Amino acid sequence: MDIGVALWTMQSTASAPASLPRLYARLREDATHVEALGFHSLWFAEHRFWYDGWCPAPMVAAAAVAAGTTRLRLATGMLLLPQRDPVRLARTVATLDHLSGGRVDLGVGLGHRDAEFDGLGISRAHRGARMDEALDVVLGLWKGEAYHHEGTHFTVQDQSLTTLPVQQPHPPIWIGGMADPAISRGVRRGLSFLLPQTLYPDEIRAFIDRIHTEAGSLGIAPGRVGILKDAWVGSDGDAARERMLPRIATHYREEAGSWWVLKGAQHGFDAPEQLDRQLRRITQTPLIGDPDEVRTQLEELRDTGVDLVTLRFNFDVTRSESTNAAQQFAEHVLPAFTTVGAR
Amino acid sequence: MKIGITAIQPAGDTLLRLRRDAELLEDLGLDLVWIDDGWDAPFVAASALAALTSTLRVAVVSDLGDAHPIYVAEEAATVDQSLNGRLVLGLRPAAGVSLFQFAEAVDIVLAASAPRPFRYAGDNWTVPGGIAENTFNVEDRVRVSPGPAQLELPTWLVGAATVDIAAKRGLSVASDQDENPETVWHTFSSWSPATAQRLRRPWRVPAPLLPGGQLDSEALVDTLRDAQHRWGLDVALIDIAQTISEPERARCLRTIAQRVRPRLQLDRLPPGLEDHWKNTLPTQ
Repeated sequence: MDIGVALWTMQSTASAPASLPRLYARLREDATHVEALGFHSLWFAEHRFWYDGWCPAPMVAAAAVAAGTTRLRLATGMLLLPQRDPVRLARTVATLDHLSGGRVDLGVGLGHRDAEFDGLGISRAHRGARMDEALDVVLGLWKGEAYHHEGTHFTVQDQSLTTLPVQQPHPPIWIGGMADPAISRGVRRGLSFLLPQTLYPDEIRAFIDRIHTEAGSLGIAPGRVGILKDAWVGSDGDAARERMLPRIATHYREEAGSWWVLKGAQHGFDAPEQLDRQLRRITQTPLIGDPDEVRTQLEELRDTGVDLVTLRFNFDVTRSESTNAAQQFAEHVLPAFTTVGAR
Repeated sequence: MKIGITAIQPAGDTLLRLRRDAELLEDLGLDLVWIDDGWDAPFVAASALAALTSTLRVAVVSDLGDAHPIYVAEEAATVDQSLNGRLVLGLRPAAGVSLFQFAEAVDIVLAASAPRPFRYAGDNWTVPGGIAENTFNVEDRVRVSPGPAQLELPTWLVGAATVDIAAKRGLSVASDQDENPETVWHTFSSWSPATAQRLRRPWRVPAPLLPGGQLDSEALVDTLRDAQHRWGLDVALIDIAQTISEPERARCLRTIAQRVRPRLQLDRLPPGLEDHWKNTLPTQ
């Protein structure tokens, strides 16, 4: 099972203010460190038009990581494809894949904030349709020949790329989404899926069954299934939970309170009880404990059928906390699931 | 005079070549690398250089006016943060885009690069869009974040056709090799002499090569010195042909660093100094 690390977003938040140039320098140092420790991949996320500098161009930021590493895969969980120009994105990812020697994994999500879509002059209501068209455009351009597309949302007039991706037939694409349209979109194109962190094992199994059923009905081999998991490991499991769960809850509460639309079209912070109910899962599903506990939880995930777990420990933590967490995972957990240097 | 060099283009083991080239450019004390032709995604190249350099300025020429200008602003800001404030942003009208549309796009990039929320209403773009179906927590003004690391991101328009747009906005124009930069700066000065005086004057110049691949340093110095005196060239963007080998390019870079750059830093050199350099510097 591949074990990656997450999420690098280069945010200077109110709770963890930081120099942005230093965060980008730290990204490069962190990448070198996690590669040396034997992790499979480093994952970025994307948002835009927020107060804290959340990186809106993760595949551009990732090029600096490519230059300082040789094996570590560079991935997004998630890049917000419906908010992008697919021609521009196809070029960016192809160039990054070329520079990195074929180490890109493109995770794509729908996005959810009205403000992000509106800032770009896009209707959020069209995000599903835009995702479908954008995937076709990106995959079409990556084939290498002159590509033409006339769709509802994008028009491409006989464009071709100067630099093609290294990976064939194309860099892996991971769909973030579990609804029927997402399953259809991913399965019929032979793509993989990256699940959200709040799922329990039985829910993961049920989703994988749905994937296989859909793939079987179409006669297409299913892609991989991975999952993002909030995670922390400490020598004392109870102490680790006591320390990290409140911090994880606070981190997500800021985002959810500011951005989520709750039942009854309520703004998150305006409905604190409903918000807390929605957030409960966030603190019930992380992989947090001592090494034995975390290994057991990862084995449980592996038994569901996922073959990639990306461990999110790069929260609003200090530099030394994050570095130490990576070290702890690498020493006490990673060897049970992967062979360092096997790739 | 600042000396910039056009970047290598992607081919083969591009990252390795980029690494070696960047190391040499910095070791030789050259000022800037100009990422333009041959790159589908020049910001990706610039981002890679953030890991490979610490002092070199990195200029990215981005086509502008076809896709939403916010994407250009976002990528430029991300790269400038990664470079810790060493980006120079070049903006060229995308193929098939009118100068009017390009001008709107420039205005959006400039607004997006400022450290304050903005809104824009033009013929081609409206920011934010004000789309009826987007109803929840939408903004009246947006803030592209992160912004550049630099308080004011050096932004040059590329191509003589952009001079009117540049002059109205107080931006430099980087003339291309087939253009007449003297006309550009004369036009600019007629718009605003004070602004023209203040701004950088870049010009992309092909590196003259002798048979055998050596740089004709005398011819290059003559060209650049003449331009410096006639219209104030102060950033030479030397375009070394992509067809020469890596060792030949390295020799050109050393020649530029030792036999071209020092001769352009003063209005004139004391008698005998250039002869001294000719006699004592290593042969090319």
